[in-house]
This record gives sequence, C-alpha cells and structure tokens, in this order.
Amino acid sequence: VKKVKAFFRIAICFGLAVLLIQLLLSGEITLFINPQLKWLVAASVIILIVLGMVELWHFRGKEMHRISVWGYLMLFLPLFIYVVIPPKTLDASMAAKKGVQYTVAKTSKVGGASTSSSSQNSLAVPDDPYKKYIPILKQQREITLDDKNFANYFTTIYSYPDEFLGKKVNVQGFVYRDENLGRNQFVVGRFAVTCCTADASVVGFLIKPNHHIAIPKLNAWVEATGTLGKQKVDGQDTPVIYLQSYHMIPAKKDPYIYFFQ
Amino acid sequence: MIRTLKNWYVELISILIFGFFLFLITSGVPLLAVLSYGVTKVMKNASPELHNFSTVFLSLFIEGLPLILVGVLVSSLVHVYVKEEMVWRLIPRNPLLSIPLVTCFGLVLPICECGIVPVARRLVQKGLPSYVAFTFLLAAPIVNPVTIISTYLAFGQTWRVVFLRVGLGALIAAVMGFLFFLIFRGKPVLKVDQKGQEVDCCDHHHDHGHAHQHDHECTSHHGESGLMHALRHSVFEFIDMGKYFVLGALIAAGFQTIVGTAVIKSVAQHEHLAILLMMALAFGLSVCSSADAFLAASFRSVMGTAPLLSFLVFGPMVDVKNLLMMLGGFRKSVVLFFIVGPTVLTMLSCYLFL
Repeated sequence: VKKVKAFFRIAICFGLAVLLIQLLLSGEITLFINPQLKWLVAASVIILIVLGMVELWHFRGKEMHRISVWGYLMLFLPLFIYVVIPPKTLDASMAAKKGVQYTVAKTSKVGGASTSSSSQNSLAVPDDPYKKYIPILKQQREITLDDKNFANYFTTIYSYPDEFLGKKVNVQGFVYRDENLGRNQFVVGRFAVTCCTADASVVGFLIKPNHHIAIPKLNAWVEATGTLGKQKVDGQDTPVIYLQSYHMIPAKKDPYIYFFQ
Repeated sequence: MIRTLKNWYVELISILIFGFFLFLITSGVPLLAVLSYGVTKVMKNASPELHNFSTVFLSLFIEGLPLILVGVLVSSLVHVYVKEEMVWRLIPRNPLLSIPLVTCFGLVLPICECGIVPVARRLVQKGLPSYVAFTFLLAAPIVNPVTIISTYLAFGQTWRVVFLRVGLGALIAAVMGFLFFLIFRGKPVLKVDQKGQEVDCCDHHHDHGHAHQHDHECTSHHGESGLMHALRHSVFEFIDMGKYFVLGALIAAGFQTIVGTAVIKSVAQHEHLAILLMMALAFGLSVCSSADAFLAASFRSVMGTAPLLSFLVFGPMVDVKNLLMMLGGFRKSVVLFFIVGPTVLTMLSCYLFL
C-alpha cells in the first residue's frame, strides 16, 4: 500500500503537469483563465515537475503525513473530469444561470425573475477610468466592438449612454434570449472574464429589430449592426441597439472577453 | 537486492512514461483528448450543465493551483528552517504590545488556514502564550502576502478590497486575542488523548514517535538536506490541502451550474440576508484563503462590498475543514469560542459597514 501511495503522489504531480502543459500548448487554457495569468499556470507546471522529481527520488522514503486514499483520489479528480467530461465554452445555458447584464449597472436582470439590487456594481467605480474612452468612441464613425476592446467600450457605453445616442454600432457575440425579453428582442452578448471562468459574467447589448425579422437561434454567433438608442427597461433607461442588419459568423476560437487587458 | 531493483524499476518506468508524455505533447498530440475520444462520443448528448460544470470546476482548480503550490512551498520552507523558538524571542511579554504585533506576523510567516492549526498548536506547546498563538491563528491566513496578492489580482488589480479585507481581518483577530486573554488566561487549551500525546492531523508521524523533538531532526535526519526535506514535505502538504481544495471547487462549481448565482442575485438585494448567506457559503466551501478571493470576485457583479467582505474575512477564520482540524487539536470550549467569536464580530462589523 505504501508503494502504491508513493506512485499515486508521483502520478498526481506529473499528471497535473501534463494536463497543464497540454492546455498551455493547445491554447485551450483561455477556456479557463485570463491569458494574462498564463505565467501563473507555467509556474505551477514547473513546481509540479520539481515536486514530482523529488518524490520520485524519495520513492522509498517515509510518509510525512498520513493521507487517506480518498485524499489521493480527490486530486485525480481534475484529470478524470477533464477526460470524461471535456469542458467546452460557456454558452447561453450558463448565461441563464449567471444572469445576463444588459440593463444598466444598477439593475441586474436575472434568468427567471428580474430583480433590482441596490448594491453598487464593480463596473461603476467612483473615479471612473472609462471616462477616457468617451472622446475615443465619439471620434469613430462606426463603433466596432471587437475582442480586444469589447469590455472597455461596453462599459463606457453603458456608463454614459447619453453620449452616444444615434451612433452606429457593430457588435459580435452569441445570441441570448429569455422569457423576460420581448418576443422580438434578443441580446448579443459575451462572457467577460476577470481572472478565471468561474468569475465570468455575461455582458451584452439588447437588440431591437426595426421590423419583423427572423430572430437568430439561441447560442448562434452573429455580427449585428445598428444605431444606439435608449429605452426604458424595468423603469431604467437602457441602451439598446436598433438593428439594421445581422449576419451569422462562425463561433470564436477564444470566445471570452477579458477585463484589464 | 531484488527489492532495490524492483524499486528502481518502478522509478525508471515512471521517468520514461513522463518523458514519453512530454514528447507526445510537445510534438503536438493532444494526449488527453485522444484518451477521452471514446468517452466524448458517449457524452456528446450529455446535458450542457455537465460540460459547464466541468469547465467551471477546472477553471477554479487551475486558477487556485499555483497559489496553493506556492503556499505549500513557503509553509514547508518555514516549517523546516524557522524554529518556533526564534519566533518566540521576537514577541514582547505585554499582551497590549504582542497582540497587535502578532497580527502582522503572517507577513513574514505566510501560512494559509490549512496549515495554520498545527503551527499554532506547536507554538502553544513551545510555551508561547495561548492568546498570542490564537491571534496568529486568526490573522495569518488573511494578513499574508499570498492572500493579499491573490485578492489584488482577483478584484481587478485594485487595492480597495484588499485594504478592507486585511484591515478588518487584523482587527477581528486582535479583538479575539484580547477576549481570549481575558477569558482563557492560564487555562489549558490543548486537547490531550489517552496516551498523553496531542492528536494532530497535519503533523509528521515518525515511526520513532517523539514528535516534540521533531524540528531538531528535520534538518538533519537520514542525511536529507533541509531543502529536500522541505520539498518532500510540500508534496504531502499539497495533497493534504489539495483534497479540501478539490472538494471546495467541486461544491462551488456545482453550486454555480446547478443552483446558479442567479439565485444569490435574487437574494443579494437584501444585503443583510446576503451577508449571512455569504458567511454560510464561506464556512461550507472551505476554500483556501489564497484562492477564495477569485471565488468572491465571481459574486461582485451582484452584491455590494459588505457581503463580499463577510465572505473574505470569515472564510479564512472559520470553515469546515479548519473546524475539524481545530477539534482535533484543541479543547471543545476553545473551539466553540473560536467559532462564535469571529461569527459575531464579522456580522457586527459587516452590518456596521453597510
């Protein structure tokens, strides 16, 4: 039993190292954490390999803690889960659980029921760093929200919606709908990640077509163009995009957007 | 002879297998994906919740892993190289001086709450006043560089939450220290089992069983260098702590995908309720203090600072796995005091903060 446990320890260290190396090399790591923090993962790969080597060197050494077998099994679980249930990009089903934010910061719209929380939102900090984007956005003839600037531009537009009324906007994202939305409306949103996917929140624009059109399917990726307007949603002035046209696009390889890039 | 051969045989195989894995990966074979190829076909029509669960769980794990590894390494180095007697010499006798001083000790002795119980216990064994040891027990998991850095990263690289967390944590620890001084002065705090030896879930179990001399051996026994010993120790501590972390990540991921933060959001408008809820969450999740900030950050779009703070301050002081470890080492009355005290203080301070 002792030797099996020693083997387990080595397998845990090396196995997790292999998992992380693969995620890093395949770029799949962006499914899980902000790419800015890649170096943290690289550091843990190095530590894991060193620990694995040390453990290998002392294969016959004494046990220093008494750890039960379930403790070892717990640490195999990440590997097991990765193999058995391959993770995939978060999509609209997760968005419903997380609650989608398409109304202004003070109100949070939630999957089933709409609630207004009095809590202050992290996006609306007292000395607003997003003010500096206002002139940049105003200069553009058509505001295009791409992967790089989505988080910043979105927050700017939602913090100061009056500044951009009538502006032409081009936005890419996945389609989200729930029963709270009017029949003819949908949201084009992105998952915004601060550090890891667990802290992802969904941000997106409420889209209102001008006339009756076929609404794209849930989870489909679209590129929508329209003009910014304002509308009351739950008693709050909310920016909406009056849709001019949209077309399907292939799903992004790196589907998330990141704050603080 | 045969036994040695057999041992080397296993080690050689392990190295070869690992080398082979590395070779495959660097030459572009998605190894684990190949492994899961068959399973994927079966799981294709599994519910999306299951995949979301897997994604959230792994992201929590991958994010927390480096921080736990660093915490374990540092704690093991301290364990081997820093003698508790050295620490003791630095502490003044007057509780009015020593308690505030010791709240900052975590900055030089960064041990997260998973490793703090045995350290505090040993400090008491070495004759350190128990109120000092307990102030350290409460403060060190919050007032320490790893926690500070992870909180800073998790909350979008801003200092506000970090200051609030550290300040409030140190304050509560100091208040608890003084209360402990008033109530438990001179009373025995350690749990004693039948053999007259303290039970310890995180201690070394030497075959030759004189645990109190253990630190003197650490650097020199069996010709191992101190560094090697520290590294080996961290392997064990990693697995020992990792199991609680994996469990915590599982519960948290399950919570996020099955219940959904949408539910907490619906409660979040009642800030008073949210504070209680977040404290209960912190207690149940038992996430290591070096990684819990990332978890808390996932709630910040739905609730104010006060409930988040209750999570961040309460979690490192009182949680399920800490409770079990404390019950293993200290008397029941002491443990009870250390659950009720921080609970009341955290609630009070967070309600005042509203």
